[in-house]
Amino acid sequence: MLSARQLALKVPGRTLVEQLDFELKQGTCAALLGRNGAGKSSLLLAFAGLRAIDGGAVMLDGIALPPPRERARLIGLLLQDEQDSYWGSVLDYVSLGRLPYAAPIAGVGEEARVLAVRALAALDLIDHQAQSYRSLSGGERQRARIAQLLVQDPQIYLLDEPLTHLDLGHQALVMKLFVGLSRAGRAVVMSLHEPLWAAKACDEALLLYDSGRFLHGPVNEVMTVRNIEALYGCRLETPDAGNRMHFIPA
Amino acid sequence: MRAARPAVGILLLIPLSFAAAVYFGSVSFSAQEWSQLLQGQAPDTMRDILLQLRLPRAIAAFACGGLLALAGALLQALLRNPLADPYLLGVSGGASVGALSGMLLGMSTVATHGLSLLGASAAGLALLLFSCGPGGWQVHRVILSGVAIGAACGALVALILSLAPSGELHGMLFWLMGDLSTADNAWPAWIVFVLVLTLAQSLANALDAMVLGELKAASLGMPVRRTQFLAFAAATVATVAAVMLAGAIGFVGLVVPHLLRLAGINEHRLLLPLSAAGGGVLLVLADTASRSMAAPLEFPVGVMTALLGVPILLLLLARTR
Repeated sequence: MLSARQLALKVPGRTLVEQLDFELKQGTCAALLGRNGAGKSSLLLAFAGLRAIDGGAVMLDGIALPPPRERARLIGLLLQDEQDSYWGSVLDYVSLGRLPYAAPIAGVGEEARVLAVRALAALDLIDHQAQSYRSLSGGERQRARIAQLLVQDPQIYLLDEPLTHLDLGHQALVMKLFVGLSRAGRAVVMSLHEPLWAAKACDEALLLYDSGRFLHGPVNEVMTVRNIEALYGCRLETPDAGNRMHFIPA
Repeated sequence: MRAARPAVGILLLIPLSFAAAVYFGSVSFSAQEWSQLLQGQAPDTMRDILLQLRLPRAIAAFACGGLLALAGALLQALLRNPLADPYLLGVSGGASVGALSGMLLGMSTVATHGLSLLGASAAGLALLLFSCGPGGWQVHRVILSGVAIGAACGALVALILSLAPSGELHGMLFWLMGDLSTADNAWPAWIVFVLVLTLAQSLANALDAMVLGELKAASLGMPVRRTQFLAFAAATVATVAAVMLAGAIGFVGLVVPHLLRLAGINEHRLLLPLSAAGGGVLLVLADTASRSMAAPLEFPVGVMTALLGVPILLLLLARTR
């Protein structure tokens, strides 16, 4: 599905990634790990076609990304920090995910509301649907954003820190949801700050190191204690809990 | 549909506001005269007052209010700020400087109009010039430029007022607070009104997305820069047309879109046309009140828009969760 070939991303004075070859296959859930400022968000924006690239190419099924409206039906992006000041209800907010399909005068329409109700139910927000979006708490807003993305219904989900603001129970709910979507034939890339979730739920991991280096592969090959220690520049202790991997700072 | 009730209410208010505008005024007519009018036998003076004075003025007021409310709705969506108002753009400041200079120099009405258009265009051009800096066209730069231009114009207006002979002051103050008594030729404003509403309507879905932020709007497939540019241009032209017609009438652009949002209308495909209609109704009613409440004395209509709009807004705000 989505692929990057020899991709380079730079910010003034720094190279974020260089010569990145990456392919996201259908049915895959990939984790994107790296330190603050390593370029995770920039990479997701580039994958979504919303950031200028400094070399190489991002492609969808082997060809250049389609024009914006079509692209929005195929690629959905959850932003890390949406400073949204939406004035309407939660239901209206979530319905806006259908905008890439909306006819000019008709608006998002009734179909969007049906999908929005379903998405709200999936994210445990159904009781808040009539409430104003601004009255939601941080975690509830994050879930409303995810619900909006479900209404957008893309083939590829690019998620920038989907677990921010969420309590443990809702972290589990959201991870289960996206793993389920990938099993159902969609593709997911999510940047995470919690290697535990990456190791537990994802199939692949893409580790972004400083100065443009990266590592990409199946989770159980790439996410070794040594690699993770090098990635975050911090020593880890690894309590033995059966066959599970644990990454806890020492 | 939840939006149906406010929509129907506003549409019903359009003919009612026009009826009020034609009915009330400094001269009142007896029941007998009204029944004569319905039979087509009204005295000529009555017909002249209704059709030559009151109706054209209501038509002008409707276009003016509609333009201001539309400009306000567009700017609030673009800036994602509920306080955005057409006068943030600074073009009305330019128009004020032009018009007041004309009055100060004792120019004719036509020449004063010309000067005010010149002032508005100069301010609009300056806005365009300063808002395109390195890194392209950016929303925050537009608004800062607008505020700066507006502040400069405000200083010039104060200077003109201090220089003006006391005989001219009254007319100038009326112009600054908004006045529809000289708004006799409304068709240019109506043409702009229809064009701007059509353009705004074509941007409705994109504006829905713009409220979510530029990046999110882009990720939903919306042409962000194009939408911003067209919506700013539409708001600027609408403001200039309204100011040219009736001076600087405040508050309509701020209050009307908010009343609608508080009534649960957030989709721009409904918010924009209903703002236009609601702004028109508000200004027709405010103008009717301003010229008939203490007749033959006439208040500036800007005073009435605030006195009518503020209580409604505060009431609705207090009721919202």
